[in-house]
Amino acid sequence: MVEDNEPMPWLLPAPADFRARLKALPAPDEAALRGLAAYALDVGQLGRLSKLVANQFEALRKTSGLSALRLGLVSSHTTDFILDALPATGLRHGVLLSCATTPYGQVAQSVMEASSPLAGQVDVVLFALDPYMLGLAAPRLDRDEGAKAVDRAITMLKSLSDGARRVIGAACALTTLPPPADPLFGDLDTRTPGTPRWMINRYNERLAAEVLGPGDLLIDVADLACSVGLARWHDARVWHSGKLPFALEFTPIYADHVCRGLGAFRGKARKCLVLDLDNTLWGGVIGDDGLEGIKIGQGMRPGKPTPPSNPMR
Amino acid sequence: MDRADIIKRIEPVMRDVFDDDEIRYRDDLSASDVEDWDSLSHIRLIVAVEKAFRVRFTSTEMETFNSVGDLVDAVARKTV
Repeated sequence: MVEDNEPMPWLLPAPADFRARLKALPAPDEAALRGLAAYALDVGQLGRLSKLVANQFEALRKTSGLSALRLGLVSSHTTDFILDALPATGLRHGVLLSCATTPYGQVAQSVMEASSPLAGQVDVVLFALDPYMLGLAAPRLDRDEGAKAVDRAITMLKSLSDGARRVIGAACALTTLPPPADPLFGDLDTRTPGTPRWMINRYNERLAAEVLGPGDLLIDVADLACSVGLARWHDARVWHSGKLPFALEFTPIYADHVCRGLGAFRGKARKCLVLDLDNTLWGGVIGDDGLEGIKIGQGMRPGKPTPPSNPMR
Repeated sequence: MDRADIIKRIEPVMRDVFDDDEIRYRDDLSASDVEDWDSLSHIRLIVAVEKAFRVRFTSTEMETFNSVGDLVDAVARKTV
């Protein structure tokens, strides 16, 4: 169970009056919208903010400094909740997102047929695929079967991404697959060909090495899932009841990772110089003592500046 | 936690999930009564209730929730 801003502790928790603040924004107001998007919003709050973005899309496109981007989402599972979260999250990364999707289960038709509703209509196609669709969910322990399954999955992904580039006319945002939470042979999974973990690990390596093209994006969902914990990321209940690929509470951080990539795609990447000045320029630890608790002044101990000869400062 | 306390706390959760300030708790309130109550918002409601009451439902329990009253009963069983 996650707390208010636990998956993204660098963001402030959403204000209690978030819904009221949102309703008080009748006219397009980029600064106010981006201010609200900067909080650690839950999936419901992101959905409501996304609706407002959609309603004000044209006005924002004409008047804001946000970079408009059309995203097509092609998936093999339920993604409505991701679509709801993306436009609001895009604000956080300087992108004005409009999203289109096709019914799940029609992955190939969505990117390989000229009649696809995405053709010529999106800038980036985000592939949200799962091990079941790619044939990597069930163990394949016969000799060489695991490697062959990975070959087939990579071949399929190459065809799909090639279709997205040639038929749809879009760049690809490819996602790595999170390893399963439940092992088959425990610690032996990683070195036993044909276990889902072994196949998914190889798929992820080959995706980055063989499928990713120039101008494509890699969204490392596997790394994200591992960082929050695979046992928490995977939720068999929501997979079986609604084909949701991960626990609902991680939707905001998933959307954040996608939108970071899309922001970078639009040149919105930010460089940040972070200096730890605790007990150097001032005395005390600002994270513990607060702005009022630190000591500032010439010769203040322990706030004495560190000599510049220290290469780590 | 008794039913009355749970109902008092579950109503704002419902309003938040369905983005509807007018929604009122009824034991038999179900998907057929709320326009935006689809399969996805059903999961969202359950997850929001889990978070609000710090409980976790099993797959079997999730499949048997036909009304908000069922949800309240399940929370009551887990918070005795």
